[in-house]
Amino acid sequence: MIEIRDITVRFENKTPLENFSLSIARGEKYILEGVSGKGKSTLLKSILGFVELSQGEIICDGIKLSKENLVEYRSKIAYLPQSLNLDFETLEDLIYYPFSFAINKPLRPSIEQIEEIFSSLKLNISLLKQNLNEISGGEKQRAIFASIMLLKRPIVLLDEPASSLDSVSAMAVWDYIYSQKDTTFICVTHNDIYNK
Amino acid sequence: MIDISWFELSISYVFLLIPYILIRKYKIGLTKDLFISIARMTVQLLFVGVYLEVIFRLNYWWLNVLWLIIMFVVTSSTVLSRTKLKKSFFLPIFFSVLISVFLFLGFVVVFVLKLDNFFDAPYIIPIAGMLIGNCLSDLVVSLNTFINNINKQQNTYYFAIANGASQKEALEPFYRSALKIKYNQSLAAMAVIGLVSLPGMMTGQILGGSTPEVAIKYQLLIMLTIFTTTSLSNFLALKFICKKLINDYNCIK
Repeated sequence: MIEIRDITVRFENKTPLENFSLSIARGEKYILEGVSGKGKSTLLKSILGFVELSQGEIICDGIKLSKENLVEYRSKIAYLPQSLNLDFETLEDLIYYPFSFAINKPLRPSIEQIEEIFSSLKLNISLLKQNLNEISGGEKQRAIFASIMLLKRPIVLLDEPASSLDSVSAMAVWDYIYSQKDTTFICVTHNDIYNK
Repeated sequence: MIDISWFELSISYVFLLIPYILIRKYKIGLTKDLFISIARMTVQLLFVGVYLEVIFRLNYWWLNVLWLIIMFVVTSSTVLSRTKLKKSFFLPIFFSVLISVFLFLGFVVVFVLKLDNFFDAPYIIPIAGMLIGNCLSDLVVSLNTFINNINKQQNTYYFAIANGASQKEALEPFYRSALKIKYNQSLAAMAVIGLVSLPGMMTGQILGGSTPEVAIKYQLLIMLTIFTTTSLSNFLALKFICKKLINDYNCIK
């Protein structure tokens, strides 16, 4: 599903990834834990083609990362970066934001689909019409997670998906991740709540 | 018109103590820029009288074009220095201002004023100067907003790109906030014109002997032209800059 072959990423004064290889099968959940600065987020950005590889190659769902097939390659992946600040009026606007992109318009979820995922993530559906200023950071984080899950991409990359969550909400997220049998996840986290 | 003595004029420099004290008190970090800008303005205005007299007298089309090009170059360099953009962004800014100004300058000169000589110095240089000067101030505001936002909110951009947005779609919120700042400023200024502020050009014309009607017609023409020119130059500058700012992988360089 994801083949990372001998990649090296070099920045001006450091090399966060050197001769790194990894193979992840369809449906596997891969969690990268550890302190900051060890190249975890860089790995996610490398998979997405957001940082230049000094060497090596990455193949996702049979498509090699290259600028020629970037749109098709990225269409296999959903991504949740850390500390995301999306400026919208209501939670509904935020949920539908990825579906405002031309490529995702046919995938716009029904209210039933949103209700279902909200219920799994222990989010109240009444939040949907609320102003974003009235919603907690944890609720917002789960809502963004819900939004990218509704894209139904085969590969999901998550950078600190539970950083603002209490233990109950974090468990709901992790349980949801593990319930998605066909979806491949790579999660970067400092939070060892799942192991607990 | 009543002349101003050099002594009286020099007194107005004493009032610069107010912005100086504010800049120091709130550690805005622009003390050096304040002195440089005031010195530049003074020297430039002292010399521009001499330049313009020569240029107006000779009125060679090539000399006028050369003068306009100098104005575009100085504007583009100033935008670069005020936005901390790299030198490689010079041409995108230069062409965004040049295209916008020439388009609307053409409208004013050919369609409204119906001048026989397109590059007639007494018309083209002051009008182009007003358009270019406004492009400069608006570009500094909108580009600074754009660059600050895109630097601080890279994750928002990458979230959009990774989840299916085209480059245009991912940049849209950043364009919106940059243009909103520009429009808020321009619309606020337009809304109070005539009531609170009397524009410099109109005041100058009236003091110079024009009737208020002629002065107002010129002012309306210039205000509308400035608004459309700055709109286009802001839009083009954002587009041109992004061509250089974003690589083939849709990543911010």
